[in-house]
Amino acid sequence: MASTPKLSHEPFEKRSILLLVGILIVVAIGGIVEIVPLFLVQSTIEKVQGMRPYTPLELAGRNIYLREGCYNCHSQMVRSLRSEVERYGHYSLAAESMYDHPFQWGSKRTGPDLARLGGKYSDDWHRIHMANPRAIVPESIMPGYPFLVETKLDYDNIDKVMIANRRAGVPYTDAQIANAHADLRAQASADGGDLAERYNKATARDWDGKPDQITELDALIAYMQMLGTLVDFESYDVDASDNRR
Amino acid sequence: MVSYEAFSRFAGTWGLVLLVVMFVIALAYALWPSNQDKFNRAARNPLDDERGPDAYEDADRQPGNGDAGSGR
Amino acid sequence: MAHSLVSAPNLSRFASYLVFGAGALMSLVLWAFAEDQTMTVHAMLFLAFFLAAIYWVAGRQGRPPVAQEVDGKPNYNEAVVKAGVIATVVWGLVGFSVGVVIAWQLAFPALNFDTSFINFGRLRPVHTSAVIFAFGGNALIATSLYCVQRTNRTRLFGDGLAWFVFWGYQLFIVLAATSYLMGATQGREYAEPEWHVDLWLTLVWVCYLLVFLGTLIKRKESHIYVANWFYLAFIVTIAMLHLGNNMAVPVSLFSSKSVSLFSGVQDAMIQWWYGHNAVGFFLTAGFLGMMYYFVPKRAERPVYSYRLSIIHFWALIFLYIWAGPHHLHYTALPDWAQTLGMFFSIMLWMPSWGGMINGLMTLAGAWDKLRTDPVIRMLIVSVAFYGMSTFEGPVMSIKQVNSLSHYTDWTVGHVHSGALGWVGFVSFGAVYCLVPWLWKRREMFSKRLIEWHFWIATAGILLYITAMWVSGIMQGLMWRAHDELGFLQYSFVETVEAMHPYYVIRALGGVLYLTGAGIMAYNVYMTIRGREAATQAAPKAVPAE
Repeated sequence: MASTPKLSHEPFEKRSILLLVGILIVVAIGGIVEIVPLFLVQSTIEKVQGMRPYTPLELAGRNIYLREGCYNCHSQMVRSLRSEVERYGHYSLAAESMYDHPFQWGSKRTGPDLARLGGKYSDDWHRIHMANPRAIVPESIMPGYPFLVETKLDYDNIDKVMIANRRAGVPYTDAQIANAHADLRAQASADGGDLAERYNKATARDWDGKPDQITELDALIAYMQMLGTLVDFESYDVDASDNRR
Repeated sequence: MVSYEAFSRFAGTWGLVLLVVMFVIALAYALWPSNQDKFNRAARNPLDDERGPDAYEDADRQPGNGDAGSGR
Repeated sequence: MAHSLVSAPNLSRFASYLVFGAGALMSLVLWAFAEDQTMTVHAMLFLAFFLAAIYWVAGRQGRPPVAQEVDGKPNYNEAVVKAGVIATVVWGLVGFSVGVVIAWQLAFPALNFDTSFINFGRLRPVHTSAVIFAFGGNALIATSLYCVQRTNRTRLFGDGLAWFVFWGYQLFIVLAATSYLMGATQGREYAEPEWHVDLWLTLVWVCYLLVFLGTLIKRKESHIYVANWFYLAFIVTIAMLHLGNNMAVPVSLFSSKSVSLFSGVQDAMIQWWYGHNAVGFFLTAGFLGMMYYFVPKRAERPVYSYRLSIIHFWALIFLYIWAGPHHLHYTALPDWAQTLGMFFSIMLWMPSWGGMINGLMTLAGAWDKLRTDPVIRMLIVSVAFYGMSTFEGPVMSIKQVNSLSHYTDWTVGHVHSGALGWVGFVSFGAVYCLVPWLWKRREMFSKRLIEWHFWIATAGILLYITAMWVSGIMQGLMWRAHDELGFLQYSFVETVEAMHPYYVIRALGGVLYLTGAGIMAYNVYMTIRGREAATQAAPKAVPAE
């Protein structure tokens, strides 16, 4: 019963391609409707004051955050729920991750949300906590990262990373890229140089307690201490028409 | 830049019509009476294959299981 | 003689040398200029791959082309399917083992050993990639290449191409795993491989599509059996998602580091469009193809309703693609997108259960097989888990429920009821079917060991998902609990402390599941070796009980 008369093969070819095209059309619709407007509709990202691209040291710290897979256990997205706002602070705005390539909103809180970690604890706290989390929080299940303070930061290509970010749309200026290495060194020392001219609200100090060396921990703490601190919520107008979605 | 309102208006009218039409086409294809024979035959496709669970080396090579009349 | 030099086999061999030679040359250049450790290691792996490919092509010189038919019957390409089945079993063991390790790390953090290479953050992507792409991917490739030949009564299109797909995919897995351990990652869940590994997978995937589509085109049946629709949708959609979600700007051509092309809210939407449809098309549509072939085949009955399977297909692939935003409820994603995601996720419940009913009811009138055939039982229980997960999913996509469940272990439990119960069991069932069929054995080496596998793995799943339900819901409630003065009642670490017993139970569940897979591996090995357990010289197909 399965036997069919000898057919020319053309309809088989056509029907296979037809099935393929049909599938493509059907699965494309949902993505187009949900994704394209996010780029086209004006109100996707609020208008806020204070956002700026990461400094070279913060960017290097962020790359370590990615490398160690911190996003597997920590979110960076305070949802607009009462208990979250009470625990972590103001709910996250779309604008706050507009320079995050890639975004790090996360999907699991094995540890707490980090969107507003900046300034919550001292550098010393982070230094001890990263080396051995249980020295500060006995019940913590976070891995220890004692090797970060032992590892010299490799920042040879940080300007190239910034250029790649610029190609992806981050508005780094030529001056910022030209001074990438100097700015990185400046931010990891007490002096700071003219860093603040290029990066609003950027602070400079020795982050990891080892002033003679720029380590991976310097970069990571610099990144963690600025998380969620940029937006000026005094000037942010929730009810502005562009900010209502 | 498209405004959100214009976009949602389009989705609620023409977009909806398009989706309903697509759904009706799929439903019609599945339920069309003259397709039933074809589908009944198609459903037997995996079973009419000559080599099934009981086609091992030392067995007699009988085509299919339960449905020997695969017409091959 | 002149005309034989330009004959098709010669031409294709020449083309192979050219392509693989160019690949080897590029690998050498990459090795010479690599800017980081990951790229150096990967250049070496690429080089080894291309040299092995050249050696393989050379070894086949002078062999006659493979016959399309033997004795008037299709000469099916089973070798590549066999390789896929073995890879499925091996990668399954690897993926489950890493899962067990990271489960113990969560219960006892000292097991991270304060090192970089094997801390939780680096191992977790190894686990997810190993189970989804290595175990699941090989199961899908093997079964799809088997099904598409059998149901279309024709030999697989492209012999060397099919082998390239198989080995190229294994290379992809090794590249991905090694890069995570060395710290190279895009930092996107389930899409961690860096840009050069993504490009490699794209190439392999296009070849996979060519092999599959080529076989469909040269088929000997006029109607394409529905299982192949699901497999085709899986292949095509994964290609689309993979390309969309991995748009990146490399830092340099010789650096393994890249920067995502999109940022923030758009990046999040694209990632979860990809992420949820990795579930929808990799872990669902593909495995539904498996269900629509192996359940009827094993039960020796046609699928309950072929019409339902068609409606199931179109409704499922249409609705799934919208569901992504339910991963982003109450976030900075615009409300309209969240609402769309929730609406379509709830709608998705209908086709999902249509598929479940179709799978379960295929056994209607032959329910005794559940008792007598442990493989059928495994397949049917997997369909039941599919039904359970696809009911739980829409519930969790409702914003109010999601506000509790999101970020907690409830999600982890939900994923694992789908992964361990549905994806795992349907794959095990397919392996238990395929091994005797491919290696021409009467049955598996031991039916009792299949029984043991089934019960041990089932116990493991139940331990796993109940532990995660309790810990997830508990933690969600603790995060939002207020005391009588209106302050938050628990600090974060108090909720972590409360998780500990459940993390231990979960790890034990994982150990059981891994044990079951180990039993399967032994059983498969013994079957391939040609052994038969003394207890079962029973007659064919009809089990002795």
